[in-house]
Amino acid sequence: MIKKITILFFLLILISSISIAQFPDIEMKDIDQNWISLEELKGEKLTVIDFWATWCKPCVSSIPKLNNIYEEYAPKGIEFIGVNIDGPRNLSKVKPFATSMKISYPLVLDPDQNLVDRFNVTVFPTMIVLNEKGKEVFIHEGFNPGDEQLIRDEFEKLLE
Amino acid sequence: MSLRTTAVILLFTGSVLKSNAQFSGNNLAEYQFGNIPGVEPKDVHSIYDQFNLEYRLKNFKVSGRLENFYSTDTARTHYTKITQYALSYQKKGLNLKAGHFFETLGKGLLFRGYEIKNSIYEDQIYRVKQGFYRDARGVFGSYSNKYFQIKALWGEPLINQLPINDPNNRLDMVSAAEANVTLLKQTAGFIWMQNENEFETAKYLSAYLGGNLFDIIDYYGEFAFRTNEDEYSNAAEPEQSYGAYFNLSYSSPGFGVSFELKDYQNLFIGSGISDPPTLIKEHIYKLLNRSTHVPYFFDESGMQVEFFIAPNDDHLITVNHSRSKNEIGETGYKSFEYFADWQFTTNTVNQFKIFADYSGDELLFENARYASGIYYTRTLKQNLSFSIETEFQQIERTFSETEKVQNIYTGLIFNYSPKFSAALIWEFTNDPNAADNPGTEEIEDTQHYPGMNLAFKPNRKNTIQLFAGKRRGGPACTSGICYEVLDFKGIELRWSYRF
Repeated sequence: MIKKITILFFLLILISSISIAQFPDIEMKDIDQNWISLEELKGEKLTVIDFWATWCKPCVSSIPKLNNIYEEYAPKGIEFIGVNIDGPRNLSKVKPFATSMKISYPLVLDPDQNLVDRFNVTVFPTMIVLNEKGKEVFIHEGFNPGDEQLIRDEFEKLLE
Repeated sequence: MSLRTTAVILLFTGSVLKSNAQFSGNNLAEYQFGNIPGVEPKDVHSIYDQFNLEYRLKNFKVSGRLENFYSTDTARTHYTKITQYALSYQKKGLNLKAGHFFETLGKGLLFRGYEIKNSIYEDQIYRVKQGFYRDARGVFGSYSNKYFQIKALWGEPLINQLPINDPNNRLDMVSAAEANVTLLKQTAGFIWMQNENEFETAKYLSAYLGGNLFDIIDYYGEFAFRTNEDEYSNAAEPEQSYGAYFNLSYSSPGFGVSFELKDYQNLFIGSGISDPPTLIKEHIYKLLNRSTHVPYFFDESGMQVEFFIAPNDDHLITVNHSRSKNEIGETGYKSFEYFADWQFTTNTVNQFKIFADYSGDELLFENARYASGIYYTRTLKQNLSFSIETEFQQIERTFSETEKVQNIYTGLIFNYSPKFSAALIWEFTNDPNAADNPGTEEIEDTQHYPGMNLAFKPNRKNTIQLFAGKRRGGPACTSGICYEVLDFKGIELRWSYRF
């Protein structure tokens, strides 16, 4: 019996390991309090989902760099979605902060971390890149000086 | 059914479903050798592991969490337990969950679940490690569209100060419903909540109004109050148990401001299932984060205002002021903080963060706290950089007479992103509250905390972190949640794996 269960378990893992994820078909609130569908924000070639918070030091450092990368790659078919994970303590600061930083890509709010769980995110910031089918093709955790070039290099590879 | 038949069916259904089904998960393991400085035995080995697994099929998800803790200190409880399990369905505006879930009603004045990812909580009484979260076990459902949202939940919130295997760690039973309507960018909503435990049944109502005006102004106001008498203590009439929260913000490119007001009276619900906005700045700087005001939800009122000024991509100035007042018995206690922070970049390779802070908290008898610091990061090559961080704080504390104590933090960090980083950390205090080791006969009046952090990321799935030395604990706030971190002396090895 244990042998059978073990074989079936590994078969299931094998099947799942060759599976392809789908783009999340869910609606979330944006920073203007509108409900929007994530599918509407999907990029033509790639979609970048950036998880961040106002209390996270590297997240704040990364924002001007990501803004520049977004403006550079949006015409090439890459869309960005910023996912803010601040809870009620800091939620009122998210829009003034984001607008003052001139974030030009759409921002959605995830105070209960539903999307965080969906993408299995455990550290902040985390950037996840999905292809046109919704499959995760790149992940970058944290943000340090020079990471903007690593991200650009990865985008170039993925666009090839 | 034979194994062969089952395997064929599984492979067939698997190939049909393979475009949508997937396993994913992560594992966090921590090994420690050491203990709180001065506490016997000094040479304690402990292992904590948290394994999260989920299986997703179209819009369905099944998930589970297994946690285990083992220590050579036999006085501590050891456990291996499935601590979370859930079945959920999410599509467009519909969200259904059965099992363990995290949800917030309104702005959390009455109910909020949370999880601080990748963090391990060790209680100072039980000395048992567990993931740091407060979930609820039950059922949850919500539906939303452009015009309205409805939510309902029924569940038992976790008391996360108790060990995860304590049979009494879910004493509250919450039933709640929330509905709101949105029209012309204005949202009005109501919440009904009932919390039952062995002592009493508490019923609450809440109303809120929020929205956006002229695209640049946002506001939100919520008033929650108890509708029945406090059967347990008779200490509070229904009208004496309430929470009021209001915020107004202005947002424009280069400049933003957020203003908030709070008034919380007897709003500590059940075992502590609520989490109202604290209106206290959540600092990224170590010494300031440790000196935070901890709200007293039985009687707390106050305000917070924060300005963001970003004249260009290379400069961000943040200015914050907060005040709060607590009344305990006939005595009023005030706390306040003035904070300013300037982050800027020069020549694209030099990053600076400079801050100054002046605060005080009468509840802690700290009349004045002065702090300042500077963080400098220099990019050497594309992904090679080093940082120097330093912070200094002086606290003036008055019991019968005024004492002045100092805290210092410095760090030297080399970073080869994203593969490797190394940090040398040194902290110092002459604060007798922190420096004196109760386990020794002599009274220590200073303490040094030298430590080294190494982080290695061999690939995108694995992260290995090593700490060796002595680490200072104290209050810490992450993700809006404040908790007590214990001092530690020894070696700590962490491995995170994501799949």
